[in-house]
Amino acid sequence: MNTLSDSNNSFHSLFIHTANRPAILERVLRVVRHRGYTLCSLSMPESDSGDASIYMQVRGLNPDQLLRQLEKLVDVHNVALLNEEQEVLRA
Amino acid sequence: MTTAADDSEKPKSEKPKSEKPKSEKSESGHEQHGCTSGAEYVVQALLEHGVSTVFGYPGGAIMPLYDALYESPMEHILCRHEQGAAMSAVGFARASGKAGVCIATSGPGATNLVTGLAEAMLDSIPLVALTGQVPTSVLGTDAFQEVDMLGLSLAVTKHSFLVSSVDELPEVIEQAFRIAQSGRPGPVLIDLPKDILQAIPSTVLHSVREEGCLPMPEPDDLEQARVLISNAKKPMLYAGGGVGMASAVEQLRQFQALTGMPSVVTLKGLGSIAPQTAGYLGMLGMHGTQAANLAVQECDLLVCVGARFDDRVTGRLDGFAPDAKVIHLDIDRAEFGKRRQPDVALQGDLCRILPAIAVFSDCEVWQKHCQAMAHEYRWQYNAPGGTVYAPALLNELSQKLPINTVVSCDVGQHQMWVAQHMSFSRPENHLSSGGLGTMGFGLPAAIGAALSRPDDTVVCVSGDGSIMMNIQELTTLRRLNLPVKIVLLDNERLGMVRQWQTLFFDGRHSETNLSDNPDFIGLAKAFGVSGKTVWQREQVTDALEEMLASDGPYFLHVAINAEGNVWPLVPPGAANHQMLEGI
Ligand SMILES: Cc1ncc(C[n+]2csc(CCOP(=O)(O)OP(=O)(O)O)c2C)c(N)n1
Repeated sequence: MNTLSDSNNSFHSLFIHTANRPAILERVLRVVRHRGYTLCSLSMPESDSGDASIYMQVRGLNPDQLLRQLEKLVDVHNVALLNEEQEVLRA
Repeated sequence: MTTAADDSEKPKSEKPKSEKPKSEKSESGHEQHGCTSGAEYVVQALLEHGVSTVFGYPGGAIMPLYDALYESPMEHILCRHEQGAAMSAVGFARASGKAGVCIATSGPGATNLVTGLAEAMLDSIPLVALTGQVPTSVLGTDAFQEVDMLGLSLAVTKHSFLVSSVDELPEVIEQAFRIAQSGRPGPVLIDLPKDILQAIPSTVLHSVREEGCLPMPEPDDLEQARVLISNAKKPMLYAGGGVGMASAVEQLRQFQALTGMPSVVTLKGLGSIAPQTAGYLGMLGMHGTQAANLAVQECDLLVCVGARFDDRVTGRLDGFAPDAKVIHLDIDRAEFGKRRQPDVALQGDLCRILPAIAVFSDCEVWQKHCQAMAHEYRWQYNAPGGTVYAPALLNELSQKLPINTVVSCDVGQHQMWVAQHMSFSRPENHLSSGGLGTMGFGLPAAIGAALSRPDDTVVCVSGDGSIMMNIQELTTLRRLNLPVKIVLLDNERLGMVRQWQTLFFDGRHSETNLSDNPDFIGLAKAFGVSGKTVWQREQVTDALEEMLASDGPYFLHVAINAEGNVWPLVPPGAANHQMLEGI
């Protein structure tokens, strides 16, 4: 892959905004595993609308690559990498 | 369960006309269907999507759909294995540019499609697969012939649906075709529980939100690409399967002509550059030409169009085109930087981006150098001996074929010889299992191609290992009387594996000997396909002519040397300039 740096192989926090369809979690997790990332934590708060939010922390290189693979899932509206500040806000 | 309607033979030639009520416009202006069942709706919707041919195999859970097909104008091709149906649908799609459609029942029928879905996934082929499923009332109970097909589909489709209500059908089918054909194409699976196929729909057809067309890249990025191109001393165009998929062959050729840069193509890019083009060096990669690989190693700018730096293309990645800046054009953003970091990444429609970055590059010296290499490393066909030399046979065959012939092939040495020694005027004329490398692809793909391009000659080049993987499709060929010409290059070996054993496993030829193959001509005859065997070089010309002059399907069995290898070859772990060349 690309130039690797230690800071790349650390935790990355991702936010996924997606249509709440059956199998959405399976689809997301399959991509995470298959593309070589390790899931560290995940939450998917209950939602009334047809959409869902998934927050997860993964470990792995080049989170941008994971982002782009997740974006390709048809049900996913958008994916964002959260920086530390945004995470604190969430917590 | 399957007490199929055995006496339901309907006369092949006189298909009863559909007696179904035609779809009407409702008051709301939506198209409304007076369908009496979900199954009827599915058939109607397929017809509305311009589908006139589907490939499939019936069974319990999908029977309602077959019942709806019975009186429809849809042409259903009964294949003899679901994998055959899927591969034929892929061949149909690749040769025509339209979506292919295949159908199977639940359980084993559906699992038999999986290799075909993976095939379409890895080669980005628009395919819609319809599978029967057990009724919703028993889903999740391990009912007879229940397999979690949605679960199985996740890794091998672009998207998949398990329909949970008959009223979802319009939207699901609409979306399935849109997803399969838009952006980077791919396979979409629709799993159809039996009760939903039988249920009475009440819905109107909702038009589904159209995917907006992709915006053009930023003007700055386009400008940066133009600057790189006009400043390059040794630019190289590297074109892949995405060019054909985007219908951008003309734009690519114009781009090449305007910039004047030399070009190489991938296996799936063959046909996107006209073979006679000055500075065209042929295929690059593991079995690419010496000229293509050496020139790419030397270039200072690589313009990658609809290709993905696949491992078969790059050899050792960190040694690939080491001095080159990279401009990467693709519809799929996930390809940028996946294997090689581009200097400029341009996402979008190739038809629009290519003209926007076409600027002259002053590279005449380099052009000449590439042309000289092309000449120096041109193929030689004067191998010694009297046995048939497969590359020479394929080259002769290629020259004898009409320009719009579709050539499908299987996987192995013969596949590489097809890519090396036959020439293609368009990408849709070369059907080769690139991403998945699926033995058994060739024959069913040829059937699909023959159905989608009835006016064009279709040839299938296969190997004695591969042909046996979907040999049952000879029945389909015979049943439809399609004039597909099969050329079987029989080395009595799993040749490509044997070659690697020879080169990289100390010649330990483990389980690659097929000298107990069946009598292929006897086998073809049993399927009602005529043919003949040739053993000697001097028989080749007459045999090819006889084959091409024949009316229906034909099986030309060619005995070739078991020791033949594919050259050149970039050994595993080596960079592309470290090619091995043998005899
Ligand atoms: C379904 C499948 N199984 C196994 C392989 C691995 N494989 C690649 S090439 C090859 C040998 C193919 O033999 P044959 O069709 O006779 O062609 P040849 O190489 O002799 O031209 C094998 C077994 C494959 N590509 N596909």
